[in-house]
Amino acid sequence: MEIRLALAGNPNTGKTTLFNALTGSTQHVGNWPGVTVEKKDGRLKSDKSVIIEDLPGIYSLSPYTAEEIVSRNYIIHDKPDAILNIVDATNLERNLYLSTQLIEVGIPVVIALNMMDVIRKNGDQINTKKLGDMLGCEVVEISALKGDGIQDAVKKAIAVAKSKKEVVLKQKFSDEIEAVIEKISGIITGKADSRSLRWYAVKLFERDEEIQQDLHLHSSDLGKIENLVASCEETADDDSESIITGERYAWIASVTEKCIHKKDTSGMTTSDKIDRIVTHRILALPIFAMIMFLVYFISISTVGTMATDWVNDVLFGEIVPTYLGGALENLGLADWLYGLIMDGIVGGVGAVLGFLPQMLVLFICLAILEDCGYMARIAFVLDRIFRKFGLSGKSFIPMLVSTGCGVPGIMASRTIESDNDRRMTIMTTTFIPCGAKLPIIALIAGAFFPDQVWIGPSAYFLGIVCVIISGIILKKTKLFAGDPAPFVIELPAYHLPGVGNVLRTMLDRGLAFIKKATSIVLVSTVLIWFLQSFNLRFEMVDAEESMLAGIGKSIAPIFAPLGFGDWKAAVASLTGLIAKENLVGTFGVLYGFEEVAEDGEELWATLGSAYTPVAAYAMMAFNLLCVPCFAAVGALRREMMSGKMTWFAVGYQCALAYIVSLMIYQFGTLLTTGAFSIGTVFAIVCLLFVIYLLFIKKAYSPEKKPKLTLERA
Amino acid sequence: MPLTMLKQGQSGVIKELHGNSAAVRHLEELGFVTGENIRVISELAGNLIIELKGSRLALNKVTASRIILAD
Repeated sequence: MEIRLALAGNPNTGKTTLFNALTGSTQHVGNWPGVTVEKKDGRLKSDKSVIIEDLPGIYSLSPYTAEEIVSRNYIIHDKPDAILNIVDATNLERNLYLSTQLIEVGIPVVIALNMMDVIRKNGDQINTKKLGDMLGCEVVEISALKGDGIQDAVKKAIAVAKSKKEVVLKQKFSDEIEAVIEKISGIITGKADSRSLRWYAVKLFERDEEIQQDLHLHSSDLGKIENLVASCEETADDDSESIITGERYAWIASVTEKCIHKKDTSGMTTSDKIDRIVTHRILALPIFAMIMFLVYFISISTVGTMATDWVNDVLFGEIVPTYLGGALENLGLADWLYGLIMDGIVGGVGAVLGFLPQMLVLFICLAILEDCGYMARIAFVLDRIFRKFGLSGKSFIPMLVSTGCGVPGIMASRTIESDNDRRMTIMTTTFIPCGAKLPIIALIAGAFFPDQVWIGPSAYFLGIVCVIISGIILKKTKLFAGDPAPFVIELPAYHLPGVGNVLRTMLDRGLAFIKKATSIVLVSTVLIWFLQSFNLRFEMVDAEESMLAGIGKSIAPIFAPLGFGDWKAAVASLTGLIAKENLVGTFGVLYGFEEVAEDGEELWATLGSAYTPVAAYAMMAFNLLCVPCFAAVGALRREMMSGKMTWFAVGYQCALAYIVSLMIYQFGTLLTTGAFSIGTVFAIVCLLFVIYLLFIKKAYSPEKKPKLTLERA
Repeated sequence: MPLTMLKQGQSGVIKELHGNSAAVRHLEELGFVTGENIRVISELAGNLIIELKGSRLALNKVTASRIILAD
C-alpha cells in the first residue's frame, strides 16, 4: 500500500532541504521565503512505497498568495495520509500558528523541529516532550541540513499514517467561541469530511468564501451560521477572523512560555548588525550595485572569460577541428556529412558550449547570493525605489532568479500578493538577461568590445532600466492602475553559504544548460546548417543562395533601421526564439569554425568585421529585450492565466526591444560617425514618445469614489 | 500612534490594524495581533526592520503606518 506524506510548514524552514535528503532529489533550495512555489513529489529513498510531497511554504491555511493556495488545496482536497510539519525552532510562535491549523484538519501530524542546533548554540532550551503533549502530536528534533533525526521523523510519520488514529488538537478557544463552533459543527455534520469537521467549522466561523462554496451549504444553513458569527462578533467587538487569530496566538504564547527557556533576546544578533550596514539609508544601494557589478564582472569579464577563451580558442578552435576534422577526412566521409558535423554540429553547439565556464561562474555567484540570506534584504532595500515605479520590492526576487533562467523567474513572481504587481513583474522580469542570454552578451563583448569591462554589467543595467521604464509607463494604463500591496517579508538569519548547496545548484543549472545545448540547440543548428547549405531544389549551394538566406532576406529589412539588417543576423534573432543560446549557435554555423582551419581566423574576428560595434550592441539589446524563448513564453502564459494578457505582454516586449534597439543604433551612429539619416529622425520621434509616456501622460485614475474616513486611533 | 513613530531600538505594543481586510488578515497571520510587542531593529527612509515574536520582519512605510500601537 502506498503512503503519501506531505511536507508542510512556513516559508524558508527547510522543507526542500529535508525533501532532498529523504528522496535523494536535487530540488533547488535557498535562504529566502518563497523558493518553492509548486508542489513536487518524490519517493522515500529507503522505502519506495512512500511518496513524499514537498509543498510551498505557507503561514496559514487561509490562502493569501497563489502558492499558498497550492498547499492548502493539496492538504484539504487530496488528503495526504500524514503531514510532516517542519517547524523552525528559532521562530516557534509563528510556525506553531500553522501547526495548530494543520492538526485541526484531522490528518495525522508529526512535527519535525528543525534548526535545533541553532537553538542549542544560542543556549536556549525547548522541552519537546512537553510541546508534543500540549499540542497533541509527536515532536521530533531534526537538523535537515545535517540529516540528524530525519529518518526517525519519517518513521514516526509513517507510523501515524498507518495507525489512522483520530487526531485532536488540544487547543481550545474561549467558551463562547467554542459554543458557536460546536453549533456550526452540528449544522455541517454529514456535509463535510467528519475528520475535519472542526477545521471546517472554524473556517466557516471566519467566513472563508472558498469553504462556503466547497461544502455546497443550503442558504438557510449559511444564514444560521452567519447569525451565530454576527452575534459573537458583536459581543467581542471584533471581526471573526481577528478573534480566531488572536486567540490562536494567545494560546500558542501560553504553550511556548511553558516549553521554551530562552536567554535574553533583546541584544543585537550578528544578522542585525549586518542588516544595519546592508540596509543602511545611504550605503544600501551602493552595496547592492557593487555586489551585482562584481557578480557580472567576475563571471563575464574576468574569471569566466579566461576559461571561455580557452574553450573557444583552443578546444573548439584548434583541438577539435584538427583532430576531429583530421579523423573525419581520414574516414573519407561525403562532403555533405563532413560539412554537417564540422560546420553544423561542432560550429553551432561548440559555439554555445564555449560559454559554459562563464555560466558556471555566474551560477556559483548567484547560488552564494541565494544561500546566504541577502535576497530578502535586496527586496527590502529596493522596495523604496521600485515602489516609485509602481513595482513592489518583491519584484526583484523574480528578477534575480531570472538571471539564471526566466522560467523559474516568472514562476517566482507567485510570492507577490497584488495581482497588478505580479502581472507586471511577469511581463518585465525577462528583460533581465538570463543564463542563456549570457553567451550573447559574452559574444558581443568579446568580438566587438574586447577590452571594455562595462559591456557585461551594462547589459544587466539596461535590463533594470527597461523594467523601471516599463513600470512607470504600464502603471499609467488602465490595465495596471492601483496601489501596490503592503510589503512584509520575513528576514531569515544570515548564514554562510553551504559549499554542497552552492555546488549542487551550480551543477544542476550547468547540466540543464548542457542538456539544452545538446538537444534543442543541436537540432536547431543542424536545421540551420541544412537550410544554409541547400537551396529549394535541394542542391548544395553557397550560403548566399540557400533557403536560409531567402528566409533571412525576407525579414532582414525589419532590422535594417537597427543596424543589423543582413540575413544572417535576422535568422539568428529568429532562432533565438527557440532558445536564446541558438543565436550564438547560429552565428557559429554561419560564420563557421570551418574558417578557423582555413584562414586561421576565429569566429569572433570574422563576426567583428561584419557589423559596427554600435550595430552589434543594438543587436544584443534587441535580442535581450524582445520576446524570451518559447519556454519562458509558455511559463508567462501559465502564470498570466489569460491568452489576451500573454499577447499583450509579448507585443509589448517586442515593441520595447525594437524602440530601444533603434535608439541605441541611431543615436550611437550619430555620436560615433555624425551620420544623420531618416532613421535618426525616427529615433528622435521614439525618444519623444517615450518621454511623453514617462513624464507627461497622466495616470489613469478610476472615477473618484468618496474617500472613506479613517477611524482615528 | 502608528508604528512609523517608533525610532530605532524602541518598542511598542500593537493596538489595532488598519487597511483592507485581506491585508489585515495577512498581517494578523504573521503575528501582528493585539497586545503583541514590536521592536524596531533598523529604519531605512521610513521602511522598517522589526522584531516580532523573536524573528525579523521587513515592512515598508505604508504597511507600518497601518499598524497602530497603544499609547
